[in-house]
Amino acid sequence: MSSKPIKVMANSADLLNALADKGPLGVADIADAISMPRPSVYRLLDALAHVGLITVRQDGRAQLGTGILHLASAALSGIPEVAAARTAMQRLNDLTGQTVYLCALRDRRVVCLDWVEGTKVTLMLLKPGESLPPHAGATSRAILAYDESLRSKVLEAAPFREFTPQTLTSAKQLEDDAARIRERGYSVSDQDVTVGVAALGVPLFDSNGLLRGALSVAGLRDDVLPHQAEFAVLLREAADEVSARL
Amino acid sequence: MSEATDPTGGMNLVTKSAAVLQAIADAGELTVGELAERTGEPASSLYRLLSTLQAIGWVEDGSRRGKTRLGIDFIRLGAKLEAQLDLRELARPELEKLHAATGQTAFLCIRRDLRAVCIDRIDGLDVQIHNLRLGESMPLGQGAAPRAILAFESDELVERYLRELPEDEFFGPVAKNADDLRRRLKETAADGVAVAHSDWGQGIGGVGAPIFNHADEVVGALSISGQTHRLFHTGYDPVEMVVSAAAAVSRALGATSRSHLPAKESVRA
Repeated sequence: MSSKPIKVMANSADLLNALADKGPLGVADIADAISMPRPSVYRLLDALAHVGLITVRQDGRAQLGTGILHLASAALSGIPEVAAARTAMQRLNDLTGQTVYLCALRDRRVVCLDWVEGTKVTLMLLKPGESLPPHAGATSRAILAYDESLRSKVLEAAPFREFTPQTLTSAKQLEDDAARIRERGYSVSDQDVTVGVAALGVPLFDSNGLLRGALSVAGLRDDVLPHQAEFAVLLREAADEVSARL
Repeated sequence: MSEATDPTGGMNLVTKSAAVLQAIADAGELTVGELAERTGEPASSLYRLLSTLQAIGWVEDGSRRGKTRLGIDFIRLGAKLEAQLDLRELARPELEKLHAATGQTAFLCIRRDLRAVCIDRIDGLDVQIHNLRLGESMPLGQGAAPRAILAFESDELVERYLRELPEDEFFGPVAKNADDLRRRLKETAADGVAVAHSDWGQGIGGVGAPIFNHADEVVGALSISGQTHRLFHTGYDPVEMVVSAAAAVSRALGATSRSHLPAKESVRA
């Protein structure tokens, strides 16, 4: 079996990604963005529009189609962690007013599966479907702390990318952090991904005790850190509730 | 089918892929055998297609061995598209059409907690409505657009509205009485449209219809308001016009369910 994706599908994915990152685009811009001759772009747009993956706007520019929204909802409901965590996440958001994240490990990256946005600010760095490396952020470090085999693989690759001066970049720093997290039961991310933003994270286990991901509460530093003890208790309760459903 | 022998340059692979994605979306996760059954494609060609779709991030291994589910990439694409869809931009042409066809004041409102905020409006030709200017708000239970929103919110929100919203200095009590409001909200939900003959005082009426998103949650309402005798007794059908304008915006946001639309609309579609 060939592992190289069939070209037209690889082009389709590139096109959808370009529209996601840049917003609506004209044919010339698409041709540039995905390095494809214009006649082929027209044919690809026709085919993708026909199945609802893109739509052509009145101004002639292509945009992601609303079919994407339905596939996104279906993709979310296909992930057991998401359904199990929904009510607990909503309640955490109601009680804290902060952004609540559900993340899980995929290919050594920690991917945001779902979120409930905070009432005050929208956090720009980690949105649904996007990911962080396992050394930065509250959910990442909570997962790293409780996943020994991940830790041994990841720590070999030190030093790590520095997002801010607060990012933990050495293997020693991350080992110490992991030990502190296991002792305390939750991770504290204080501006290690975004300056001014803090988050608290707890690991998420299923009823067999397997690590399935992590939950976090994130927001402006002054809205999170002063409430550390209270939020940690709420996170713990939420995680227990989700575990019981997994 | 290989690209070399396919005169459409592989474009029918896009169609095939979409059918595969849809089948998986409907079921949650599927084996190749189940996919073959549902799409009518031979398993051999599905293996190759799935390996391609997996390579580009559109599908991934499911929670059980041999099952395939939709890829996490769609979650990212969906979140990006949701952020790009701008209600004001999508509703503007419909607002303009409503105004041009009726000459009445046309409004676009969204909910902010227990009130409806006007985020766009076009003034009427014969009377200027002073209520609900751009950025102003009114209680959810009053007026056509706010009531069109509240009627499709949860019962908990309706009860919270009745319990918590203080009397408004402008608009008076949030409802003449709670039961009356609950009854009117039920009517609005059943009709799919709020019709107010004189909510805003003597002689001013309005018609408001809800706007829904892809998850069929109410995200706002379009309405027109004007002097009751001009609004309801002229050559056009204000109810039908507002309902179809709001439905057009809902479709642009990806709404598909027809359950919220009035019977008339379903029959026509």
